[in-house]
Amino acid sequence: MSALPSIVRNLVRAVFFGKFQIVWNSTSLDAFKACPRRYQYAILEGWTSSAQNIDITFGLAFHSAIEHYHFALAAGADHQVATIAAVRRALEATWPDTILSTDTKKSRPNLIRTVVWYLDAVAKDDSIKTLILDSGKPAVEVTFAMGLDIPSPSGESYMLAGHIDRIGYYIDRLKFVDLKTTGGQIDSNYFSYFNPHNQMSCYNAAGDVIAPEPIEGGIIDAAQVLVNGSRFGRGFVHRTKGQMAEWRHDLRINLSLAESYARANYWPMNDTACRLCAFRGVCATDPGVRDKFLESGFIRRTINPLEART
Amino acid sequence: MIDSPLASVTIPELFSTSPEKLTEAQVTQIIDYYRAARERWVAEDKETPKKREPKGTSKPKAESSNLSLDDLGLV
Repeated sequence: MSALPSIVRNLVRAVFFGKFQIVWNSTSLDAFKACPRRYQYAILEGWTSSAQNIDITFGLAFHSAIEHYHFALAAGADHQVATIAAVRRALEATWPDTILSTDTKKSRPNLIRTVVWYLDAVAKDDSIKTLILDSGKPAVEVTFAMGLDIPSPSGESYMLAGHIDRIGYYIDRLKFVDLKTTGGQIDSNYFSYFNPHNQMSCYNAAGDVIAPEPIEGGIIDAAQVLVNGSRFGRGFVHRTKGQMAEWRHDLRINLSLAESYARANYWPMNDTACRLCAFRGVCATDPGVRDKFLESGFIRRTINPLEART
Repeated sequence: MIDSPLASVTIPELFSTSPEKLTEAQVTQIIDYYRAARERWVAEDKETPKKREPKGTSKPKAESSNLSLDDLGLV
């Protein structure tokens, strides 16, 4: 894989070429691998359920708050001043205050609580030391895009893009750090879910090209958001060279499959992956009425893997 | 949501205020409110550790099998 500039905010590049997706990220790959029909609804057409929207809003606000904390620290602020910056950011990201109010766990007060508790419990005396880039900025919210050396129907190479929450040193080893929020229990079962795991393999692949030295695996900082409290856990992600070669080989096959579905303008349903799918209710209806179900029960979001998260 | 007894503006009022109008002292008031809540939570968690920990939940100790921040004394 060849490296392209890690900061791609000004990169003019079409994500789609007709129905062909040229720039992929872990979210679109996740959807495609699970079910081509889910990929069609969620990625190509951008449909999102209101419940998913709350999760996304909560997660983005949490990430943004923690990002502001690390930026403030890198600018010389102490823990308290950086915490104020983070909380202010979380409040701004969820204003007006009705955005998250419909969910008992992922509510606005619970977001602020989780930010404050995470910063005090985890970030204040963190054993991970954030990498400072040559620009002087901390390696936080690092946007990457890299060529895959796989020709696409547009004539360009396919690209893999995404955002890594943080890159830092943990016991002298450079690792990526991914923040997760969950309503479920954080235990060894929770962390075992990340191997195999497409998103983590994706970050591992990006780790070869976006830092001044190779990234050796990752760390997952998970926040369990409960009604009355928040709990935190840290897990480690590791991939062997053989596992990554296998993931890249599978990626090539999946991109080829996606091309064939796009050519046919048809994305088949994987009806063994419906159990936790937001579109289950849609696919359960007659094909002739599905568009109406989508329009009445979902909202549309624009998805652009090259866009920096704010 | 419980009001902060010593503050002239309550926590719910702060939450319903536009963030750009919040002073640094008011953001600090929100932070202090949640820090106090965390102290109560941690104390309660220590008193009744099994209350929130279902049976069979293990907390491995090695990097390869993941550390709980509780184990690290961080929560």
